[in-house]
Amino acid sequence: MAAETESTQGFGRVSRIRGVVFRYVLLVATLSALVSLGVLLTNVTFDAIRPFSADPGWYATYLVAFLVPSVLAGLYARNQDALAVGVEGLFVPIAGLFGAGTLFLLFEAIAFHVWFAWAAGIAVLAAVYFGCVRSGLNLRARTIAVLVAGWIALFGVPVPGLAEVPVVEILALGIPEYIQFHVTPIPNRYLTYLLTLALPAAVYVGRRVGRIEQNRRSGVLAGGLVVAAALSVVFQVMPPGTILILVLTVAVPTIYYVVMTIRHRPDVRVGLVFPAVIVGGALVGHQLTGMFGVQGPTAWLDMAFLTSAPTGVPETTGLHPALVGSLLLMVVVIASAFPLGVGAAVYLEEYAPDTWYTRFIQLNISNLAGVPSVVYGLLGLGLFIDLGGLNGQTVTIAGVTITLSGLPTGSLLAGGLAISLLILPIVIISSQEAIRSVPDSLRQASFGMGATQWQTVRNVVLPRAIPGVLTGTILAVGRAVGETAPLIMVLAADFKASPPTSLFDKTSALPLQVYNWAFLPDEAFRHGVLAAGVVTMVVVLLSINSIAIVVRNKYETE
Amino acid sequence: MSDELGLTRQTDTAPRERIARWFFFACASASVVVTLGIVVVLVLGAVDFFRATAVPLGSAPEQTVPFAEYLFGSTWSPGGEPQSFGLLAPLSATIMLTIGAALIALPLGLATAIYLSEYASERNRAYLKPALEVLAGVPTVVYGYFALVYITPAIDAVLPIDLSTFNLLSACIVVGIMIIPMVSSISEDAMSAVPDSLRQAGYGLGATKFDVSTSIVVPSAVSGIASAFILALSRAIGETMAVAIAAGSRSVLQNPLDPTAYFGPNSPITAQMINLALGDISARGPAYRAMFALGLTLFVVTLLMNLISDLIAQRYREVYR
Repeated sequence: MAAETESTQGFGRVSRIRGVVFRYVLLVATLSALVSLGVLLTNVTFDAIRPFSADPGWYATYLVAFLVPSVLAGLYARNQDALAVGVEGLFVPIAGLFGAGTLFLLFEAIAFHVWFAWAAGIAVLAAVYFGCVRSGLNLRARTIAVLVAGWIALFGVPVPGLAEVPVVEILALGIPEYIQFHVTPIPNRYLTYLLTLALPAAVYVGRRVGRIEQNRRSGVLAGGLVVAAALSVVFQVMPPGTILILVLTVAVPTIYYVVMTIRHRPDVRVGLVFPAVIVGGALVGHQLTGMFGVQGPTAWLDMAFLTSAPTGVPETTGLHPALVGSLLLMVVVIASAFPLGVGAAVYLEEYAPDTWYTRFIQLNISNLAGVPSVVYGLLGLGLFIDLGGLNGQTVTIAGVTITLSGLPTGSLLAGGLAISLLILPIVIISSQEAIRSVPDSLRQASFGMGATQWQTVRNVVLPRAIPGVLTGTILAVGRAVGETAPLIMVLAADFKASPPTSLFDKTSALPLQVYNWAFLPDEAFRHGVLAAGVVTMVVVLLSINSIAIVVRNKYETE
Repeated sequence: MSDELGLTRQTDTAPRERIARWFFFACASASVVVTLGIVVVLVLGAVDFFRATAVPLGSAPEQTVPFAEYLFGSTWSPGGEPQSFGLLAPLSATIMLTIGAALIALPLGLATAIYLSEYASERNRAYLKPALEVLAGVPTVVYGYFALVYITPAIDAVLPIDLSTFNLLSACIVVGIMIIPMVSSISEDAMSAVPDSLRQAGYGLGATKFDVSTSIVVPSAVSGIASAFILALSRAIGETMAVAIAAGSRSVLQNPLDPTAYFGPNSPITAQMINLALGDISARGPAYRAMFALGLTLFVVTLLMNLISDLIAQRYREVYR
């Protein structure tokens, strides 16, 4: 008893100070890392933009022309829903501009005639596929027909002598190569984009409008308007190909959004005033500053920085090749990691029996997610480039001697594959979570109606899981953009100063460029160019992550 | 009955079903192939590094590194004459980095987890959790840049210490910040899994919120917290770019418990691999193969830590189910 009273000496006296102090210590600890990251990001943004280098008159002009009207418009639209519509209306053209930028970068790497040739080949393949489906062939015949026709259409059959015959040589070369090298009046840039981008966009908009309005005629009208807009850009001053992309990515979605809001949501259409005032204010502000001759901030991060190649001189250097390289790397990463990751997730969630092998795969995936990124670089180096030491050696299989050769050092494909292996476990795990969240009752209902496993997966599980799968994949791609270590291992850091032209070409990438600038002692690099590069990278990341958020929100509401 | 059997047989063996099944199985097995690829590539490279090759007469003797020299050597100079590959030097830097990052991330991460799980309102938590994930989402090369360009000069200006341009201290700070979300999210999951009845019992006995948090919730979740710590430390060991930028390119054997050692450059295993990759490796010489030896070391250490963390986490899951 005595011992007990000794140990409970504090009984009856409850100190509140200790609890309160503890609570605030915890809060400070939670916020400290966030605040320090915030301070660092603010610093780097200031270094990149240099807002204090602007003329005070510049700020005054924008205050009057842009900020005050925007705030007033925001207050006028007061109603929460209307304001939400306003913000969305502002988001659409901005997202369109980002999309246009992405397309410009992409079409810089893929020449338009190559793009056109492959689009034509794929169109033929699609036609063959739909022809087979229409004609009601059985699965085996259809698969064989599509594979054979597809191979001939895309790659051709190398029959000796066939390539000399004028028209039949298309069979020998495949459509893409035939068009690239033998069709002399290759359509120009504008016509290529018109056929491959504007037409599908017109069909999509037309069908969508037709469905929403439940009226075929307005659908046709909307599609026709898109085509008309695409045709009208010929009369502009700028190169029509450039304008066409801007029309398709910025004008069409914006007009679509505005028209649909005005027609179908009369209670919140007042919110559209808000983006209109902001965009108008920005334009007026631009005109006025030009008229008064006041200087804006001399930012390191400007259009010239984004569109020129690295030069070694702080004032003229840029990261254009790195932007193109990163974009193409992401194309490789998505093309390889997405199907593989989703397929593995479907197997583990829908098919896998509970055996040791399944458990092993699961354990293996969770451990792969913890392997350091630099090890994936070694994997890329050792496997894709050196083929595990077999590179350059000859093997004889069934009398045929072939020389093994890995991917060229520093090639786009090797770098992309190394990164896609790195994000594969993340894609698998997030896809698994998405698939697991599909209620079992839906599967049971599907089976109950006599559907097979594959039919259930295709018609029930995947459509329900796809938003989660997409969100997870996009977030993983966001991580892939910033990955540096595997790229240094594989690309050996001697990247080129021009965008890559093929999958086997050397390439640069955003993080590689930033890494290379980090060691230049010049102050203008350290606090200027490097900061601009970092801000570009963070903006790219933020926009990728916001795509993920938009995808999730869009599907959640539908 | 026969119809039913026929139907089952048909759906199970229909070519479409079989193709789909095999396709998905192949996708899942690809992850095993990746692991095998990693192990094979690393082991082949490392074996090459250690193996004493028979050198043909007349050609220059090819240098190889005995296993014991690699494991217990204390000098790391792949570019020096003679070359020497002693693991202890970069290993000491890795240990220093891990200790430094742990000193920052473990207390902060644990405090964050307690705050999120016990104190934060539902609304605050909805804001704080994604915000904390941002810490882990910033590319590591950006963290390296922060350490080099902002944090090092700031520490140099504030503290009366002689800090070199490249130093481990700033690297430890950014790596610590980077792994906070790892500590906090897994620890918070463990704390949220502690049944409310335990907390209620504590309150019923007259305990304050402080007592409940520190003497009931944290001890009950201790295995989850331990698993989070180990996982975060394994992440710190594998962290590459921030360290490669901020901590310099020289590796020397230093005493991890000596605070002044942190003010100078010392390059851990991961950063050494980047250094080797940036050097001339086209000849596929000892420096190239040393990357694989280092990679194998790193892979084994992080894999073991991840497995231990997994084991601990599984044990705590069983307790409350």
